[in-house]
Amino acid sequence: MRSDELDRELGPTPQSFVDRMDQTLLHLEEEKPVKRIAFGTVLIAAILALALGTTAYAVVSQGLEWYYNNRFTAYQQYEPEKHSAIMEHLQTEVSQKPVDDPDINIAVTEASWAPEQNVLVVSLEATAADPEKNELHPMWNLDADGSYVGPENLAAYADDEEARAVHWLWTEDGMGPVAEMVAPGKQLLLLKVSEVYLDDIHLMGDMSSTDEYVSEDGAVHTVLEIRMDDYFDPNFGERVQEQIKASPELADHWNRRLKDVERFRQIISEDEDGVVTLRVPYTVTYYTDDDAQLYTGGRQGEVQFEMKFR
Amino acid sequence: MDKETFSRLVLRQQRQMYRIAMSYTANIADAEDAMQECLLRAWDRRETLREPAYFGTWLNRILINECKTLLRKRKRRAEIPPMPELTAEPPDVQGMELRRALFSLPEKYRVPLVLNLLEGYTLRETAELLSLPLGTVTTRVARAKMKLRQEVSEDA
Repeated sequence: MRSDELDRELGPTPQSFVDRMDQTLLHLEEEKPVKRIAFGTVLIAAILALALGTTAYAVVSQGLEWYYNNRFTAYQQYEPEKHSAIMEHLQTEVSQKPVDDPDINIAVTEASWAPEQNVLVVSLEATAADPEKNELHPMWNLDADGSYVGPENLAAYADDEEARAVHWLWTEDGMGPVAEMVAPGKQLLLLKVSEVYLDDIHLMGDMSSTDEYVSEDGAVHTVLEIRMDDYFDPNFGERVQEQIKASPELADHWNRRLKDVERFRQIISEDEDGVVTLRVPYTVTYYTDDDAQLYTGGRQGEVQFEMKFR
Repeated sequence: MDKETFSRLVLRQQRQMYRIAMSYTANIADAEDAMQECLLRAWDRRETLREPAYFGTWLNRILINECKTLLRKRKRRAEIPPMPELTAEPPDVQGMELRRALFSLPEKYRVPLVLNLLEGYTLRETAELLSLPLGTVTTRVARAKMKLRQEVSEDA
């Protein structure tokens, strides 16, 4: 999903909007503009129900093969060729630098670079280093439905029936309440993993995704899927020029993107086999009621592993 | 700030205001109402803007508040879900699906997505604009993208 696509789908700014703005600006000092009556429109009820059913616990975790066969099965149904390509290139032994983290054990368990589909998949597993003391959950699960607005904002969102002052994880649908969820005396740890880097290049592409879940043994699993089309598209430079021509205001964005793509190509060409070291930064946060600290105060760490791109 | 400067700054973000208002209201007439109320309020309060460099964010914040107020009024009137009422047809079938999917998102997911992806606000700035915790905005943007992706790929 790119911003220019989204912009295009909103359509051009209607002339009526432009005219109304001009008129309003024109009359700012002279008189208060007469408000146009907003006529009711014929509306069709068609809002689709939001799929809120984030599965918190997986029954059994057996790596990416299990993942694509049990948790995320859309590829088998809609894009079987992508599923086959990911499975065909699955690496179950990934060369990586051991991570020395005081709170968690974390490692890349599997990875797949499927060049036919330009898809990179990285699977990580993390457990609490001291499970007697800490309980680990993905940060995503804390507010999986996006309805937490915080106690101080609850009044401002009184119209939103779903707005809550408690985190989703504390609710019955999550796993809570926290007093029952986390054993007495234990501390809740939250893990956030969402990006992959080559050097300082943030690998990203349209339709990339992140999934996080907890298996029965308490391990937190993260599956990162990155669409790499741009990095391997020989016409990417031309596409960028077309994008800039169509949306000059996004020129800086597209030029930065092109620079990243060119650097990516240069780096993978430096190794005879196209082997590079990728970085997956993560954040570990001890739960606190202070939202600012909770969302920005975590400790950073990093997993580094090798991936062959040619 | 004089009228000329104010008008020039407003016109510079005309497109942005349209996108934000539409992302809330999904309806051109309502988007225009919210925009007009926003401009009147901003003009009245222009002396409260201490740092002109933040004019854009300041104006967007007022617009967001006007959109929320307008939606609250509409809600009292009728519990009818809004549908996009755009003048131009999208250029292709995929575009049509994307537009449909975008406007089928509940407002609470659609607005953070538009602010973050389209208007270029960081997640932190989006959270500040909407007076929401950062984690909530992060979740909503991620959910919106996920939902769009799901909708578009299922329709493909």
